[in-house]
Amino acid sequence: MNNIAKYRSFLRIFLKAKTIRIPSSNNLLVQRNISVFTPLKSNPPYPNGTNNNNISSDIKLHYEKISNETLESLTERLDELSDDLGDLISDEYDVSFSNGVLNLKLGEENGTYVINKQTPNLQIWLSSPVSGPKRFDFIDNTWIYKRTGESLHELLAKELTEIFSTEINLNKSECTLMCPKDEVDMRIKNNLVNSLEKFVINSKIEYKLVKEYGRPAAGKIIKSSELRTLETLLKTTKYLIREVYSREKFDFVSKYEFIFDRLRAIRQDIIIERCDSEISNKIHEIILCFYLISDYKLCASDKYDEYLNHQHLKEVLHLIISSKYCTNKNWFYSVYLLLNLKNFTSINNTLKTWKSLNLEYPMDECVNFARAYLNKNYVKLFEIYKRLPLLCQLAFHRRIPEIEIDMLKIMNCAYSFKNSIYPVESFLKISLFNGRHSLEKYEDKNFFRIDMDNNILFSKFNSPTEITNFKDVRERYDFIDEKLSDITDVDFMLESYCI
Amino acid sequence: MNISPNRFIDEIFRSLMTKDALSLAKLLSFKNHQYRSIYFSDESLRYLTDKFKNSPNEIYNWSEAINYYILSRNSIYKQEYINAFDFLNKSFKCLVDLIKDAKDENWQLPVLFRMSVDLRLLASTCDTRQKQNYDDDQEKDANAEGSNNQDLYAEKTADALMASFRNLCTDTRSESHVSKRWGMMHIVNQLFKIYFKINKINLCNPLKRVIENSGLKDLFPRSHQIVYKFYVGRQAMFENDYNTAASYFEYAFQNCPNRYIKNKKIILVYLIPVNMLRGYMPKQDLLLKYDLKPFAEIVSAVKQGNIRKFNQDMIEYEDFFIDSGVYLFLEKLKMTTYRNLFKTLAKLLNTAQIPIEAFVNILKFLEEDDMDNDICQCILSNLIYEGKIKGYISHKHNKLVISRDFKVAFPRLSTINPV
Repeated sequence: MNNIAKYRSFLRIFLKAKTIRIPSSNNLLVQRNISVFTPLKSNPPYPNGTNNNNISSDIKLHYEKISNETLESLTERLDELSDDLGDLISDEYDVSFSNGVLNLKLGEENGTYVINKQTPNLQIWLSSPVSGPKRFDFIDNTWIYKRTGESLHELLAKELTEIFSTEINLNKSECTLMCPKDEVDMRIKNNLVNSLEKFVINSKIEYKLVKEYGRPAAGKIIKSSELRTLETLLKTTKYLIREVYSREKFDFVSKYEFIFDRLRAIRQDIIIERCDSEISNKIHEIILCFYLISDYKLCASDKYDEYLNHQHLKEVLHLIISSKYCTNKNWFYSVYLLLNLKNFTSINNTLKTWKSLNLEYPMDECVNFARAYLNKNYVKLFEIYKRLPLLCQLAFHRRIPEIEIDMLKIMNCAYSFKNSIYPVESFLKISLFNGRHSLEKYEDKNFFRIDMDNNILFSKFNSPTEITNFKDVRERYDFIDEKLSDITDVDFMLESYCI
Repeated sequence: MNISPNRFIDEIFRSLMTKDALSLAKLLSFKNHQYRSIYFSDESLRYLTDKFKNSPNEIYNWSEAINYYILSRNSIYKQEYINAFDFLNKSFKCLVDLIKDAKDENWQLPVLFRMSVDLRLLASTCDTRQKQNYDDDQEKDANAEGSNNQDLYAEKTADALMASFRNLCTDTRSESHVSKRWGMMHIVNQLFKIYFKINKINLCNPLKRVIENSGLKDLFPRSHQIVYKFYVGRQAMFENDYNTAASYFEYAFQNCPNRYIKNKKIILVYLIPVNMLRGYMPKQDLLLKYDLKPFAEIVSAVKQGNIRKFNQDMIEYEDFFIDSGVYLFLEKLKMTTYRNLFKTLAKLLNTAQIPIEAFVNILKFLEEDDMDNDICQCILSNLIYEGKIKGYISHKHNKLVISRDFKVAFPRLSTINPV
């Protein structure tokens, strides 16, 4: 890792940053999805009242500015390129930009690129000597060719890479701060600093800003000076977990929402860079653990958006599983399996894939767990759950109410006769509940009654109310909390999820 | 015997002239062994161009489609499968356009059918090769590009097929005997095959709806219907709707001609587990006839309630079951096996109040090592809940209480509606 860093800074200084990076193969769909989600409630309002969701109207208003900026920055970058490439290019190499038309002449052999604004359609058109004409729309802060989902910069980088047989990256990251300078200035000026970014040291206020997600799109395209380098991203992630996560005097929900948002911005940067490396994978792993542990801690909180957490969890998990740098595949496949137990089809299909993998720990345990799930053997399922590693326990935690509800339905049916009693104590033994008090939430919903001698009275005639929101019945378990006291959350996320 | 390229071209024109789509489809089929290693030299290509030049318009319309097809053929000869796919895909698109533009005609459909199948198969070849290359490269070059999209060609094919499907659907004005809508089900079937393969079964639903509402549902050609029902059945199976699934599979199995033994066997692979879950056990001679030994073993284990044999068989034939996608359904039969075992035990003990220990002991004897009182009660609870045993458990006395009449206590499985 160190070597890469050295190599990169060396290059940047002496070669004006000819970043050596191949556009990674990460699935584009992931990028698409991100903009679909509504921003977090805690997001401060944007200065001009826009947010990431109405880019489409932004582009109408700001087409001129955005398209000009895009083409200007591209011209600049392509100009730089001629210096970077030196001998590789012919003398005829020429970049010019005027009247909204960018011409990139590569010489007789390779032809000419024409990139121009198409104001009536709010598009940018590209005519490539390699691949012909294409039209780009402004989506997710960048220009996208809708048919393939490729961005203008990517496509150009790819083709130029081929022409010059040298890696060329037009979206290079330069920022080595946790938050680009422009954003720092703008937010301090407009008083948009989150209270978690303020520190009081020696009765002086200090700011430590972290780039927030979905900065106003209006008139903004992604500049390389705003794109943080991977090392910076890792550093930022670690900072968020190590410093912010454990800050005192803040309630967990607001810390969660803050970190969630900043991590989202980090993921966004990784996506733009199209990068799959050891570092990006490490970041994803930390983020995944953060999602899991927060979901557990917030399980009963009604201020927390479980759905959003779950969606992001799935995305990050997908990235980790398809990354070539993930060295603990077994652990993440286990998480995948536990999250998807309900989906019969996907289990069946993944079974096929996994057959070739050796069932190593904790996969073997999880497969047994899946079997118990399939046959609704809740006793066995809970037994296995108790001995699963922490990561897996957290992954399945959100599903437990489902099992409990099934369990109670079945028991109501099987233990239904006159004078049927089932001691609370025995019941606690076969379930995960912390104690007698944990049963109250189900008792309140008429799943069963408990008599004076602490016996549960099951009966077919109990008519429980439908539970629509699992939050009402989710709870933290003592045995998990115990584990979390042996290892701090921070260590779990940063160092050792394999416990 | 190899036919000369020019003769091949002549044949194409003859079928076009006589509008004999069946012969043309047969001629163009990649499966046709007669032309397996045909290669068109520049000379033949010129011959083809000349022939088209001198043809009337309605035949000239085919020139693009045929030209691309020939190029695809040449790529196949050179074993450049990805090029071949791209050419065939283009040819297919031209064919779709050509059919769209031909008003009040549908004789071309058989060619479309044939080509859609070939396109799908070629895509699958390309995807497998890509994947192999990826696996080989992975160690060498960790940054290899385009690796993630394992089903790239399958998805391209799906796009092309969707385009043709939309064209066929919209042909609502033509009279029935020349309507292109007759081709819908075949295209849907090809799409089903792709979606099942790339694990996007949810995409089948809208297609299914179009077919169900087309008003032609039961009028499509028999062979199309068999395939269609097979896939719709499998979908129902995944949704745990076993009765519906069984009726679809039943139709497919009954109507599939006897000479297609392989197809019939595939249908059985799904029909049998579904029927077993519904409580109908297949006859051993049927299983032997279709060479389905793994099922034969499982069936006998389930019938006897021999849980040890059941567990062993599941391990032994794991590969077969997982590959055919029925592993999880068979795993569910474990409950039926328990039920049969308990029934036998209850008969032997001949009492209405059976101690749970008796069950635990027999299960432990049959090598269910992690069995204990609680797990056993849980299994019994599930059986009671599903209606497979009529009775109740007394936790206080640690006993299962059932009716004295075994027929009441253990009702026939086929009479129980799955929960």
